[in-house]
Amino acid sequence: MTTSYPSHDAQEQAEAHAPYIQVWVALLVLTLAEYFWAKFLAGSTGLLIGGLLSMALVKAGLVGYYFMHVKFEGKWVYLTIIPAIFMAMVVVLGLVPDIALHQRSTHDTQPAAPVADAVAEPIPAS
Amino acid sequence: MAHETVTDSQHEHQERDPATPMVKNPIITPGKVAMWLFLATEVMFFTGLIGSYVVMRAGSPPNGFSSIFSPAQPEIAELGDAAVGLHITDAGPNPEKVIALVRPLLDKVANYAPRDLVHLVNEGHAIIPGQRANVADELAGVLRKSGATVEELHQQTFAWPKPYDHTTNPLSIDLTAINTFILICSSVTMVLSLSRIQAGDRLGMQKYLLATVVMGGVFLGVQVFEYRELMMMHVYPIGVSNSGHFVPGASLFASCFFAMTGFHGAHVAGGLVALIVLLIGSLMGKFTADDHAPLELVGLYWHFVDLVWILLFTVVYLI
Repeated sequence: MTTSYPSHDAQEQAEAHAPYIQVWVALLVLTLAEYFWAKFLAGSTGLLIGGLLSMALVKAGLVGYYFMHVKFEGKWVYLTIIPAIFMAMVVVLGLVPDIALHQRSTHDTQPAAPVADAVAEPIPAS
Repeated sequence: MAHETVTDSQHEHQERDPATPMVKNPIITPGKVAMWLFLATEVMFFTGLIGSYVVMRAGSPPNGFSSIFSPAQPEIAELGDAAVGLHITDAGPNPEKVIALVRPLLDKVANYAPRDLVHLVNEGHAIIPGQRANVADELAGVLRKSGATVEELHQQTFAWPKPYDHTTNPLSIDLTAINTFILICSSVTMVLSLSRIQAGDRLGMQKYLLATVVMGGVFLGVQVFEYRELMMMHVYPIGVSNSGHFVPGASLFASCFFAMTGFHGAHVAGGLVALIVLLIGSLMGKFTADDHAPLELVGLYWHFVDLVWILLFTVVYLI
């Protein structure tokens, strides 16, 4: 089955009447939500990171989908960005065992360092 | 590029929405493909930057940062819970004497410029790095005899500076949250500018484009102001930097911060130049409802820069 697409004029008409203001309001609300989420949940790491990353991804998705017109483009756009994201992720994940996990295991297993002398010597009372 | 019109009998989709003319192939122009391919390389670049930041942060030792030592000092781990710092909250009636007392101590472990040390003591922000409790008690006694008000600080260690912890993290989240919103607004005006020219309204397009330029300039100006405060104007506690200034060499956190936000700022500056060129072109009569490809391509780039900042703000400032 062949996929059909809007004509150039139809696509431009759709782009010109996309719900940009609604998206802008959503971005504003999400930015405020991120700000207060970070302020009041600073102590709980999992909730903080999970919530903030979720909101950031939704915001980035809204910008990409509506403002960058991914919504109106053909599937060819995904062919340019998905392989790039995939390959970049592979490169980064390749560093994880060498740096992140290696460092952590080193810190876990290293014996405690001998207690050092005081940094500064007391000064005589004047 | 030819776009063959599709008949009703060929596609069910068109039958559902006969008002929308359908074509067999999507609208692809060489410029748009080139821009998306360029953005793909940018995706790899920024994913590399952000990913490396995450990996380095994950691999940072649990005592890389301390409230009473400059970053990455071996004493953070060596003294551990035994370390006691001294916070001079008030220099008292004779600040010169207090400065003379603390200068030789701080010269061993910090790198303050003379005027920065004077500023720290006078403003009540000077922290003498951690020492054993008995040494700290003795030193506190000497300082109190000189008229200073001294508070003992017990060490808190972190793998990475936490947001809102001003002993190790100098970043202003409030200012940057506002700046983030300004950049988001500039993305909206950019897309509205394109929307206006698609509808044949050149004046509307110019107004929105001007608003985008202004907001992009404000974003960049705030970033320059932030850099100036961090690197030169403000004197931060010892846990941020041993010189009192948040410069790229202050810590791994500082290096990462400047690398990521600096490259992003350079992208904003480049985008701003392109937007100004477009604005001048439009004032000279360029761009119509049928001919506005440069506006669309620069818009794609501008939205991408906004998208990257949304992620950077979250990862670098808020987490």
